[in-house]
Amino acid sequence: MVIAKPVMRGLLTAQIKKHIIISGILSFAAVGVWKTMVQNPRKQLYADFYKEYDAMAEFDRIRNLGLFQSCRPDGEEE
Amino acid sequence: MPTWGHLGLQDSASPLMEQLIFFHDHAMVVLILITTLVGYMMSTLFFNTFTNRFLLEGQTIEIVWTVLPALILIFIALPSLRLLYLLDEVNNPSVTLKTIGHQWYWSYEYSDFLQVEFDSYMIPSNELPEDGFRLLDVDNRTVLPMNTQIRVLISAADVIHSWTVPALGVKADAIPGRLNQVSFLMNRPGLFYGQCSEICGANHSFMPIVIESVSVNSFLNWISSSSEA
Repeated sequence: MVIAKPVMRGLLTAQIKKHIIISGILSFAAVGVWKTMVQNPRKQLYADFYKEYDAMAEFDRIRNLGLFQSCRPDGEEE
Repeated sequence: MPTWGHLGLQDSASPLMEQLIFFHDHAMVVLILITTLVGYMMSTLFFNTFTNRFLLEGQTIEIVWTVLPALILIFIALPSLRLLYLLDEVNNPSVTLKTIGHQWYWSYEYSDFLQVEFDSYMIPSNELPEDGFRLLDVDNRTVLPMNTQIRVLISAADVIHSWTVPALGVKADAIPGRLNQVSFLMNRPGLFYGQCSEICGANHSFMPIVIESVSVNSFLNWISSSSEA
């Protein structure tokens, strides 16, 4: 019975090549996860928040909660 | 303001801070890439059983791991420089606020039209109301108008302090004998907190900053009533 000659040389080089490819794939996968789960949602959140943001309405809401020192809620005497 | 368990940057209240947050996300892309790459390489070392007794040099790999980092650095540098110059753009502020650091409080002056000056001390914990923020609330808040370009001139009377408001992306040292200028615009109303950021003595941690972002009309009413008082 004839068996194929086992690979005797270049084992470290082959392993290094394999690991470089795996590490490259893992790194880009990690970057992909970061982009899809953190970076892009955050940009979208900011865009959605400010798309129809009414700063004056928000100001009146906070003021009527009594949170400002400089201006009091509606109906409250200064 | 930060809450319990807060890990990242505070939500922005200024367009420039928004850009800083996005740039931070961009820089994290590079950091995650490199950390994953190097971390995986290091973990494979635990399982390696091969050696190469005749390895002396590798010109190709040397070129690769010189050029690749240079390209990565350019990838970071270009957005960074864009933002750096954006932060220094000339604009025409409508309001100028002067703030002076003392041991251990901030004093503020509004001298554009009417002369308004006041000191801003931290509210001690034993005098804090139930809904107050410990070590952050002050007796007299700094009131400023929203959606208005604001210039702040920062200095100090004794030792070096630093005037900071993270939500606005603003930090500048308050140095005796020197005026530092920062510029910002608040695009939403609310309360924005900061703390002295340069060690200045025993109560360095107890001289916070509170900015009250209000409508332009409220600001004008407040400043005219403050100057009459």
